[in-house]
Formats: sequence, C-alpha cells, structure tokens
Amino acid sequence: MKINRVQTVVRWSLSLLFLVAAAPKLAAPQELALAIFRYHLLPANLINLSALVLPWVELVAAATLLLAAPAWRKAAAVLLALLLAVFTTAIAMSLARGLDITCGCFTLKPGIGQMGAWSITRNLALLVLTLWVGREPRAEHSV
Amino acid sequence: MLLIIATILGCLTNFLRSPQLAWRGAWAQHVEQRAWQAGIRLVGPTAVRHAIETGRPKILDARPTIDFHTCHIPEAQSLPFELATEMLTSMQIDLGRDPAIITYCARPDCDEGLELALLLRRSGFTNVLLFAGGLTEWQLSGGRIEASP
Repeated sequence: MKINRVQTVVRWSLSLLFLVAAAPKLAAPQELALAIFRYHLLPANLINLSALVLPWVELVAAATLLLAAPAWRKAAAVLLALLLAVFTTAIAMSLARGLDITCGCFTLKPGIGQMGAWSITRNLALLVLTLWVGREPRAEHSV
Repeated sequence: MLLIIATILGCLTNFLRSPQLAWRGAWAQHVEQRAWQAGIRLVGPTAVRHAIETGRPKILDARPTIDFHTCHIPEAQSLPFELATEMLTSMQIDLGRDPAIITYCARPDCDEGLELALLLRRSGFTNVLLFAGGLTEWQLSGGRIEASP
C-alpha cells in the first residue's frame, strides 16, 4: 500500500515535470524547430513538423499519466519512456560529435540548458521512473 | 491513439496560430546547415563567454565596421567580411600563427560570420569556429555588449 502511494506521488511529479517541459515548446515552436535543427539528426523537411507535434505528445501523455484510467496511464508512460529514450540518444550522439548546443529540454532560451553528461544521467533516471510508474500494481487501480 | 491526438492538436493549433510555422522550413539553406556541411564547427554563447574570459579563441566580428563601433561582443576584434581579404593580406589585423578563432555576425540568418569563417579557413586557419546565433543570440542569452569610441 505504501509503495502505491510513493508510485502515485512519483507519477504526479513526472506528469507535472513533462507538463512544465512542454509549456515553453508550445509557446515558441520556431525556437523549438531551431533547437531540433541544431541536433543535425532529422531531415530538414521533418524539423518543423516535429516542432509542432512533439510538445503536444509531451502534453497529451503527461495529462494522461496524471488524470486518466490505469490502462491509459500505462500507454502514456510507455510513450513518455520512448520519448526519453529518443531524447537521450540524441543528446548522447550530439555529445559524441562534440556539438556545442543547448538541450532544448526545459527551456529554449539561448545559452541556458547546456547539455552534458548530466543531461543523460537525468534522462536515464526519468526513464527508469517513468517505466516504474507504468507498471502500477493492481491495488493502485482502486485509488 | 495518444500520438494521433497529439498530432491533430499540433496541426490544429498551428492552423490557428498567427503567424503559422511553415510546415516545411527552409532548414537546408540555413547558415548553420551550410556551416555544418562545410565542416565549420558551431559554438554557442557558453563558448563565447569562455573565450572572453580566457582570451582564446579570438573573437572576430564580421559585420561592417560602423556596426561594430555601435555595439559588439566584449573582447571582439572587427574584421568585416567585405574587407577581410584586403585586411589579411595587408596585415592590418594580426591573428597570430594558428589561433583558434570564433566568428559571428548580427543574427542567426546573416551569413557574414560563415563567409568570414570560410575565408579564414581558405587562408590557412585551421581552427575556425562559428557562433551562428550572432549578436542577437548573445544578447538573448544575457551577454553584455560594448560600444567602441
């Protein structure tokens, strides 16, 4: 029962974190497109479309994880975990290639959020937590 | 299902936004893409801050001299792209033997910084970096600017 409570608190926290992360991206798609472009990983034609859809994926998944029924929450957790895996891979590839760019994870302000080993550690921790909250025990379903 | 909902919302909000974000951006022609393809390494404001603090790499402002005198990144030297060939050959600017150099211009969509970086590389400077965000991104990142008398 205690672990259910902890899991619920972690789930709420993760949901809020992803909602906070989505907000600046929704407000400034042009800046997000530039941040995505600077990773030099996506074809030019897909950059703007990604900038338009990506924050909504974060928002919809985070809201679902926060508010929806358990089956939907599990789907949302899987989706967020996939996003984190993609983001972490992109950061790792950029670090390996020596790119001097900001992460674009929680803010799009220039010069803030410089990526580093810390970004990967943080994302991996979030990935583990997201997968954990996706595996809700049955008792949680009655909460 | 969640992905479909997100895609619909993303597209719908862009229809309602003014100005809309183009569905396909002209990223292939972007200065940074050209620099990337030319093998010029790109740096951000953090690297510029480091250069100001340590004096290395040298920072070169590729804008016209009049713009440089109005405002520029601290510690930057003026080397306007249109005068660069002449200034380099007549030794009006001393860049040392093989210095690391960061070039920049006014905005992310200006190309004098890139052109100067390419010119310097053609002139034998092997460690040329481009701060493509330019003065605009520098100021947005909280960087201070200086004016020259």
